[in-house]
This record gives sequence, structure tokens and C-alpha cells, in this order.
Amino acid sequence: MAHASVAPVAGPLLTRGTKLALALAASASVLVSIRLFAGLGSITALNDGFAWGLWKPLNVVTFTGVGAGALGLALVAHVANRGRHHPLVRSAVLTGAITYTLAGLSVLVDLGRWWSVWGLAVPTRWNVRSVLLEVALCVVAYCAVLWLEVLPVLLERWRDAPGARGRLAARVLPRLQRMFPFLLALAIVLPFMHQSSLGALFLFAPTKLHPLWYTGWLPTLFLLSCLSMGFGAVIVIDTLSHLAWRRTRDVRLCGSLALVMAALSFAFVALRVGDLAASGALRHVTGWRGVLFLVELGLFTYPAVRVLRRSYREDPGLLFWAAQLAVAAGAMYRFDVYLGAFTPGMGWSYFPSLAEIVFSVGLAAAGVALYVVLVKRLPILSGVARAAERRPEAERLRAHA
Amino acid sequence: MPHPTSVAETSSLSRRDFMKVCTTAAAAVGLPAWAGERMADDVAKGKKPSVIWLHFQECTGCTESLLRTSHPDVAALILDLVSLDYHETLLAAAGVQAEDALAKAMAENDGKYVCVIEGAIPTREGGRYCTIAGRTALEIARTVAGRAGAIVAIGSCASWGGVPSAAPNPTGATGAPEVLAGKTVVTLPGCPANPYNLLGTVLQFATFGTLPALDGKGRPSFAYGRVIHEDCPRRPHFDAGRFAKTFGDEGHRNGWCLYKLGCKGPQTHANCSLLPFCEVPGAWPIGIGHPCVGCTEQQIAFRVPLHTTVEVQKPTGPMAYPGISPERGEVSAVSAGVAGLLVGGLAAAGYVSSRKLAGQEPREPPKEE
Amino acid sequence: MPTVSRRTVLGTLGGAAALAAAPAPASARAPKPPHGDDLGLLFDSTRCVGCRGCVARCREANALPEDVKLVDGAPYDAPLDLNDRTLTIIKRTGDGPGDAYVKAQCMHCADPACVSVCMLGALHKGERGVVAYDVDRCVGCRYCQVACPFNVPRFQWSSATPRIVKCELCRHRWREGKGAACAEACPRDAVVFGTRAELRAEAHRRLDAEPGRYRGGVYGEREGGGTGVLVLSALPFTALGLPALGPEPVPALGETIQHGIYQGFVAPVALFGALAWVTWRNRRASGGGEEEP
Repeated sequence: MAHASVAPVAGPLLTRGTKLALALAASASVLVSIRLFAGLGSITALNDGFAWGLWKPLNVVTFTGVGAGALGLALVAHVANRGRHHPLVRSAVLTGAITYTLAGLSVLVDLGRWWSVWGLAVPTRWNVRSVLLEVALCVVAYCAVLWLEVLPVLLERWRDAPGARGRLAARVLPRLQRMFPFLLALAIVLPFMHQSSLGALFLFAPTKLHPLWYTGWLPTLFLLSCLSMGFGAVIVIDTLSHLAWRRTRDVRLCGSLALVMAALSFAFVALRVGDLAASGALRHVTGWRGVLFLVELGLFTYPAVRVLRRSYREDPGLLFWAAQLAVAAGAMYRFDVYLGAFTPGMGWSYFPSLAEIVFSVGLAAAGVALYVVLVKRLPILSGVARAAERRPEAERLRAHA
Repeated sequence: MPHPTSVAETSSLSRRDFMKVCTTAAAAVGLPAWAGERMADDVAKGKKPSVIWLHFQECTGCTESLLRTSHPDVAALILDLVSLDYHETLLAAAGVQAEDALAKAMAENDGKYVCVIEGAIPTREGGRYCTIAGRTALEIARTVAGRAGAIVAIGSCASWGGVPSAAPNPTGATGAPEVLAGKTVVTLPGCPANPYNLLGTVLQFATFGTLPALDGKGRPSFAYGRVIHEDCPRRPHFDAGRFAKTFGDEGHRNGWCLYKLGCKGPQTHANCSLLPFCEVPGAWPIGIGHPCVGCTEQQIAFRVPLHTTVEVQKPTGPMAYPGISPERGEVSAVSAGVAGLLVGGLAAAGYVSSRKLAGQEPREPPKEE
Repeated sequence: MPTVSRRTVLGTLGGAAALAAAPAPASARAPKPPHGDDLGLLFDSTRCVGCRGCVARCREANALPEDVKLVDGAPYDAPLDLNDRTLTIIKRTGDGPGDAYVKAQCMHCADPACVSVCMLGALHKGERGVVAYDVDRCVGCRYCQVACPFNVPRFQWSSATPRIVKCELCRHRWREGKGAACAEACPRDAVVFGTRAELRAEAHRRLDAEPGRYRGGVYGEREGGGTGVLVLSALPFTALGLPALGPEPVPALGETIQHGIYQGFVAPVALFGALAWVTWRNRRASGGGEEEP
């Protein structure tokens, strides 16, 4: 199988890119320290009408949507057992682990009374009616599961090392492998639960969510769109990784994922439009929110239609573009529900402050830096550097032999 | 002018008038109307409280304002309602006779009489700056108040020193509560004090044997619980932001708020606006277009310049109300620009790199497994 | 090579769709009707003269500082809306004749959205139907602000240790035998404190006595499953800033769907079992545990 070609990228860790990313992350941490002492109002434009701002739809819901590639590949590679997709799995799981960690960090910064989160660990304190409680617990558990899935990559490196590290790896690895089916099942059930609930959160604001977005199908729509954008993200990250380090890759793997992505997008659009038509809410397609709605549908539909053609989805450039649009579609749906179509009324308006944007960018940069560092030191990415192997075709064929 | 010993004879007032005044006094203290009736009945039965009135460092303004009340003649009423056994201004007797009257009144009503103190008490050099019949004010106050059933300090001088205590205070003038430390002294500050506040206090003591609820400075809450600003007839002008800025300007002629002319109403505890002096509505500083001078307040009167404004301690909103949905939340142009650049830049970079990629890398030939 | 067919994955996805599907049994959620002895307020906007005594007394009773603004050089307590130090406020609908004063504060819903969504029960239904706040359980997530249809809970944005601020019907004064301070201050009986049964009786007494004075019945008798604060008005309630709510409690649909999906936790456990089994079988078929994730 393709695992033979999974290897660390190697190379220096402190490049211009990672230095820039660290600088951005540092500015984000400066903002966090201001917020710690002067309150959330000191750096955000949040207000009592828009109590949730940029960080929720971006850092939490879109980041984890990108991380949902891990969920998508778990379904494709392990449940549907499409073994040839395994080369993409490690990168997707790592992406998931990083994005969920970032989302957790962002939530901690966003929580007004962050030191009180210990209460979440005490079941007697739970309000089991709360959707957000379910999301919080699921996200924490899933984050742990994702890192457990990344752990074998590290342990494999240690297995051959002498001394304690080697012994530890030799002991833990087989156990992790035995646990794997259960871990994987968790890695699917947990995101199913919380990704759908990220939509269900807004079921509880019936008067505030625009009728084009408020529907009992919010959980299902969030689940479908997280999968479509997750697959899109897998393609985007795979393309970027191989561009950055000039490694060989099999575009057709991504191409076949694009088909799944398209199917999910179509399902999303069909459910979305069908539901609105059935409830008669389509008459609300007016004004700038109507435009938002149409652009959102267009972003879901266009890449899904285009990748149906094999020549399109097997062209790395076009596929890259389609995947980006699919990620943008999922992100836009999330932004619309959390901000664009959220109408608290009573004269409230909101636009993220510069500091909020800087924090989000810094968080993303930290994630990218972490990804780059881990990919350079651990066997995550498939393929080999093209500089060393000038015959990618042969390599690919050998890999599939 | 009624003589203390002839109160009963001079009374030409009907029971109706009695009732009216007693009920007004009862209302001022915060007692129900039947309490006023009971006071009137007690007086009719001859059960009058004995009052000993001491004068020290003062201008007799409090007594004067008590006597200058208009119809119905509150002065006469007060003097009818109480048995004023010793009062230097009103006493017919003089010299030894006067001192005998004091000793007799104290002996007859020992532990039951009301001791009213008007004026500050000098304390420097043993109190020698105010001496009556060879005894210092300090000594008289301690002796008379020491055997009284209730002690009332009337006016700012007796309450906390008043004018005599103004800097540099050469005589060490001070109020009765300080001299009589450890005793409950009802203080009725004011320059002068409103006679009704005295009447209410004395009648409550006479009828029920109790004193009205007092604050930390011994002031009855019924009269000094709120600041002038809270019940000021010009308050709507303050709330609407309409102020007289100089004497005689348009705002002043229109009766607007005097806050900016240095009105001390926002910090002065008194009921001037609710209980007119001498039954003449408007007969108080703010009523005649002068800012409140804060005469009841030790921290203000004779200390803060007349036209210096004070802080408003209990502000409430202007007569403008927020709408149901006031516009709130800001859209910063800078962050909007940055967000636009970021999203646009990402989209452009993505598009350009995908075009380049499409050009550079050869298309994979379709293959089936 | 695949040992599990496309059909299996579709089947799994189907199960997943069921997990996240909308239709759910209505029995998933028990109704939480208001009780007659719940405490609340009656606000009669036709009687309010806008004196704001209630606002001042509320500050006093809850030891909240004034929201002072300088207008023309003079200081005023002039909050624009409920905020991190203002539990109740008097607003005005317009400026012409026929306008009305409106008192805003927590409506104390019988079945509140804020309570439903609060993770650790910081906002909870306390004794006598009050929607109470327990700061020790609050993590500051502000979901209550998102969910409240009346935009009532406020957050201390400029505090390092922020809390949610909202009316709790002066419940700290109840054991002294005192009710809501705002009602105590009202000179016109525009704000009345009492039990729900008393307040409803009073509201209907007023409606019956002067039917021409009011319009649209008593807001809060049915709206959103019933609110502890009842409102009478001469204007449409929406003009007063009160949302048009149906008789269903605000969190009803969300809870019906969520609790339907997770009823007894059967669906997630079943999905977990199915997935674990499929994965285990796949791995055995493709050569045991050699293959890492």
C-alpha cells in the first residue's frame, strides 16, 4: 500500500514562513493577555446583541469544519474501506487534531469565566438539556481521540529507538492498534454529534435566525456541510502540502474524494432548498440576505457540478479551485447562520474588530506552523520529494503495485 | 407675644385649629392622623410637655423664625402645645428669678422635660466665651441636658457649630452632640431650622415618649432623609438640562434650575421644599431664585463658597428616553477594510495558484484500477 | 478489494442521517407550564408616566452603580438600554401622541430558552418561578444572550471576571418580606408585584373595567409558553419591542429535535457499535491489525 512512501518532509523548521506564522501567533497571544486583564470588551467588538462574534463561526465552526476531513476520510478509508485513500488519512487526522485544538483554545479565550470550565468535568453540575454542553463535551472528547489517532505516528518512530522510549512504544502501540476500531467508531460518532449540534445551537434562537436559515434541519445541514467542506479541505491541504514541498501525489485520489464532496453538496442543496420550499420560506429570498442565500447555494453547487467531469476533477489546478470553493461554501453557510442571518434586532449591529481578526489570523498561523513542524519531523505526508525522485509516475505505480 | 406662663390664657384657637396643626406636625414626623388627634386631646387635658430652652452662641434666628410664623399662628400653637418653662428670649423674669425658674422647672419635671438647645457651645479656655449667671454654657448644657428626658439641638449652631464655628473659630464653638457625647441628641440643623420639624419631634416625644427615627448625625429621617435635589420644584428643569447661567438671565427669569449658579441642593439633606417655612410657599432660597446654600450641612455651609457647584450624588436621567431599539454596535472601517483585503487576498491567491497549477502540472491520464 | 460495499457505507450514512434528522417524537419533551403561585410583575404601559422611580429603586435595591453620562455639562443616570449595571429601564416608543413608556426587564419565562441552553445551570428556574443566576456555575459562554428572545441577559464586557447581569425579581429581598423594588417605587400601579394568579386576575380586572384602554389582551399569558412578567398595552406589543411569540415555549422545537435524537442515548450507541463492528471486520479482512490508522 501507499504507506511505504509516507515519510517526514525534513528540512529546517525555522523558515521565513514559520517565522511569520510565529510572529502572528505571538501578536494573538499579546491580545489574549490584554483580554485577560481588561475583559472581552477591550479587544472585541462584541456586544449584548451579538454576544458571539467572529471567533465562533471562524475559529470554532469553520476550523473544525476544515478538520472534519478526518471524519470524512475515516468514513471513506475505514468504514467504506477504500484502502487506496490511506495516504491522505494521516494528514487529515493531524489537521483535525490541530484545528480542534485551536477551536478549544479559541473557546477558552472567548469564555468570560474561563476558569470555571472545570465544572464541565463534574456530571452532577451538568444541565443535560443544554446542546452546548453536548458540543463542549463531544469536542473535548473528540480532540483527545484525534490526538490518540496521531499518537501511533510518533510511537512508530520511537519503536526502534533504544531505551525507555522504545519500550514504551512497544507496549502502547499494539494496544492502540487493538483499540483502533473503537477509537475510529468514536472518531465518527463524536463529530456526528457535535457537528450537527453546532447547527442545533441555533434551533434555540427561533426569533433571531432569519427564516431562510431557521429550520428543524439545521443539525443535518451542518453535518452535511461539515463533510463536504472537510473533503474540500483534505484536497486543498494535500495540494498545498505537495506544492510547498514539491512532492509527488496521486491527483486521482483527491479526484475521487471530490465526487463524494459533490454528492454531499448536492444532498445539502437539495435538503436546503426542498425544506425551504416545503415550509414556504422561499418567499423570504429578498434583500441582501436573499443575495447571501443565493451566493451560498451557488458556492455549494458550482464546484459540485464541475467536478462531475473527470477531466475537471483530475486536473490538479481545477480540482484545487473547486475544493477551495467547497470549503468557502461550508464556511459561508456557517458564517451566515452565526452572523449574517443572525438578527437580534433591537438596533444591534456588529463587525469584528481588528483585534478579533488578528487573533483569528494568529490562531490559524499557529495551526499552520504546528502542522508544518510536525509534517517535517514525523511521517505524515505521502509521496516523496520530486527533487529526489524525478519519476513520479513510476513511484506512484510502484506504490500501487 | 405670648408669655410662657400664660400659654393657656392666650390661647384663642379652636380645637379645629389645634387638630389641624397637630395633624400637620404628625404628618411631618410620619405619624398617622390619629396621632395628631391624640396630641391635641392630650394638650386639651393639660398634659403638656415641659420644655427648657437654652440659648448659647447664636443669633436667635431659630427662635425668631419660630415666632414669625404666619396664620395659623404656629408660634402660638407651639407655645400652647408645650409648657415652655424656661426661655431666655421670651421669659418675663430676669436675674435671680429667671435662674429660680430654671431650677424649679428642672426639679418639677426631673428626667421628663425636653431640653432644647439653640446656639453653639464654646469649648476653648474652659468655655469662658459664653457665660450666663456665672456658669459657662458648657456647664449649663451638661447640667440641664443631663437631667432631661430628651435633648433637641435646634439650628445648625447647636447641631454642629454653625456660624460661630466658621474658620478660624476663635472660641472653639461646637455643637451640642459633641459636648454631650454619649447622649442621644436630636439635631435639627438649618439656618434657621424649620419650626415644624421641632414641633413634630417634641409632640411625638410628648405623646408617645419616643423620638423619631434618626440618622447617624442625630437628624430625624422624616426631615433630613432626602436631599433637596430629590424633591426640588425646579427638578424638571435639571432633568431637561435647562439651567440659569447667571442671575437675571433668561433661564433665571424663567425659573430654571439653579445648579450651575452653585446650588447645593444635590448634597443638602433637608425638607425645605416639602414643608414651607412659616407656611409661605416659596419662602426659601430656591423658591426666591437663589441657589440653596446648604445651611444644614456641616461640610458645606460657611465652608464651600456660595456659587461653587457640588457633585450630584443621586443623578437620574434627563427627560429624554431611549427608544425601543437604539442603534448600537460599531462597524470599524479599518477592520472592515482588513477583513475585505484578507478574504479577497485569499480568494485571489487561491484562484491564481490554481490557474498556475493547472498550467504547470500535466494532467493525469484517467486510469481505472 | 473493499470488503464492505458501497451499500454499507450508504447504510451507515443513512443511520447517521437518522441521528441528525429533524422529525422526532413530540413526547420527547414534557411541557413546563407556569404555576399560579409563581412570582412575577404586571406592567401596564398605559399607566406608566415615565418617572423612572423603578429604575432608581432597582439600582438601590440591587446595589448597582448609576450609568452616568454628562449631558450639557450635567451628570445624568442615562443608560441607553439594559446593560451590565442596569436591570430595568424605561424606554419610549415614539415622540408623538399615542406613544407609550415601556419597562424592559427579564420576563421570567415559564420555560426559558436561557435556562435550556445554559451548560452548567448557572441560569436556572429558582423558587417561585424566578429565572435565577448562579455566578459560580457560569462559564461566561453567553449562549443565554444568543437564545433569549427578549435580549435580556447582559454581560460585563469590560470586566476580567465578568458575570451575566439580569433582573432576578429582587429574590434577595424575599426573605425580608419584600418584593420587587421597582413595583414598590411605582406611584401609579403601572408595575405590580405578585403571584401569577393575582397578576392575571388584576390584568383581567383592568381589561374588563376599561376595555377601550387596552389592545391585544395580556402579553405573557400564553406567549412563549407563558412569562412571569405580564404586559398590558394600548399599542401592538411589537411596538413595545416584545417579539411576536406563539404559545410554544422558545426552546421547544430545539429540545424536541435534540432530545429526540439523543433519547436514551440509543442512536449514538447503536451507531458506535455498528461502526466499531464494520471497522473491525474490514481490518480483519485486509490483514489484521498491521495497518495503522
